[in-house]
Amino acid sequence: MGVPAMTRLARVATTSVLAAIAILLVGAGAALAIGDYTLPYYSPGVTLSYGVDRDPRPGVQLDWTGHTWNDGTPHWGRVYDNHTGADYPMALRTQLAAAKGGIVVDLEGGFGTQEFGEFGNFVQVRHADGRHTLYYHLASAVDGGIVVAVNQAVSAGQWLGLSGCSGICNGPHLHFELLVEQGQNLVWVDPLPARLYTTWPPRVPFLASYVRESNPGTEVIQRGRTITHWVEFRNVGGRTWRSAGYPGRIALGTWNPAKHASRFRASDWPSSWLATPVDHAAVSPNGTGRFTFGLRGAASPGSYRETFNLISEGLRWFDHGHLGGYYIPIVVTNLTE
Amino acid sequence: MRRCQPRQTVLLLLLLVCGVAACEPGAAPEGGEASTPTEAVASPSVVSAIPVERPALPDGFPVLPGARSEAVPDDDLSTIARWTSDEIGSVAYDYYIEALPAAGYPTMGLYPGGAVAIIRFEVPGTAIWQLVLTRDGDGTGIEVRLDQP
Repeated sequence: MGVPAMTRLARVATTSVLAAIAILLVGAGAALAIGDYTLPYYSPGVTLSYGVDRDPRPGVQLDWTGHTWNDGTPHWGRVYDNHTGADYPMALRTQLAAAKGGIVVDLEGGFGTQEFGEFGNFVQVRHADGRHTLYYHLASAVDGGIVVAVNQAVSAGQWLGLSGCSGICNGPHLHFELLVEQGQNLVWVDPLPARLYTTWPPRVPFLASYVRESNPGTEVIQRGRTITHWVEFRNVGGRTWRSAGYPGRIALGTWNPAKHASRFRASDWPSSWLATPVDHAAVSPNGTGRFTFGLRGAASPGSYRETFNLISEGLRWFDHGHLGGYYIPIVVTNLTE
Repeated sequence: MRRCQPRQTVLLLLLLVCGVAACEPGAAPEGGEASTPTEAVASPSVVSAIPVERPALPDGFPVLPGARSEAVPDDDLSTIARWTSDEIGSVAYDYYIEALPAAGYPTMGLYPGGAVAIIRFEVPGTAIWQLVLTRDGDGTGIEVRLDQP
């Protein structure tokens, strides 16, 4: 412990000349995402502070857009000299997500959350494709900075820990690296131009926006009767939504407070708080998923509202604000009304 | 975080192996990036025109306590002021993200990083400038410069 992963692993910078040639040949063509990684955090408001420098020469920087800077000075949103990862500014103790499923192979959590020094806290995950992701500058383990353990399997989008500013850190941020195994070495790659994300531009794993619903107004339910309601959300995150499988199934559950037993639960609900999984077997990023479920007028006559949110079961609730604070106004009436 | 020195021979070999015909457009080998992304995460601003004279640092501009003033090269008109400090880590960054707005310089963008950080801020009615913080030995280099990408 105490030694960051990058010093435990020999690195070979082999990419820069290839990249320069390829860029000259291809130009600025449209880039398609070809990998299955997502951004390593949940907040869609986080943007890149500095990316990988793909030119190993001191003072010369090849940024993720293919632009070369010969001045050696940092360029915001692009690169600084000899930088091996992507820096994402975020407040201390921001939740971090596994960019892809894998196994935790190394971690360090013994440094202070803002302890400056050559080494800092990190989590390293190995993925089935032979790549590794590294999440660096994390908060101290005693500060909740690490919530996984070595040899633990983690799912795509799973919470790994909290950001911090440990190690060589000039303002709180996450340093995110993607590396590929080559023999005994790990060779860093730049996931942006290598298009290793599920979408382009890359996205956070779980995010949705409201589209429409069967009744955008008030649902009036006679006491003891059940009506059917559906709502559609667009998948504006980076992960495909699936209706089966645990963890990770995407479902609609009660919110505020989370997982409260609903007084409007109908017989088709899987549980007291879970209204329904997504109707479709799979909803890709940019697709729209429908959630159909019953609402039963079991409560006393009166006016109510039931609030719902999406959940990746066992992993993460969605950002309810991004769903427009979704809720259903409900009026329960007597049968004779 | 900094990487090891490159292996020049490997680069040359790759250069030879990846002939013009072998570089398939749009499908680069891993680590050998092909096309330039067209959708920027952050778009650089327009480069500030290099002035004929170096702008003067306004009176009362916040200076990290204990920082020592450094000379700015005469031929570098885009650099307005420079200091060094024995402080390390986030001390300078944390100071300036509060001191700049408090002194009347609204921040336009915060770009923390490992060895460097940039704070873009507005000089009201004048321009956008940058505060550039870099690791400088066992301390921190602090520089105010004109805005640039």
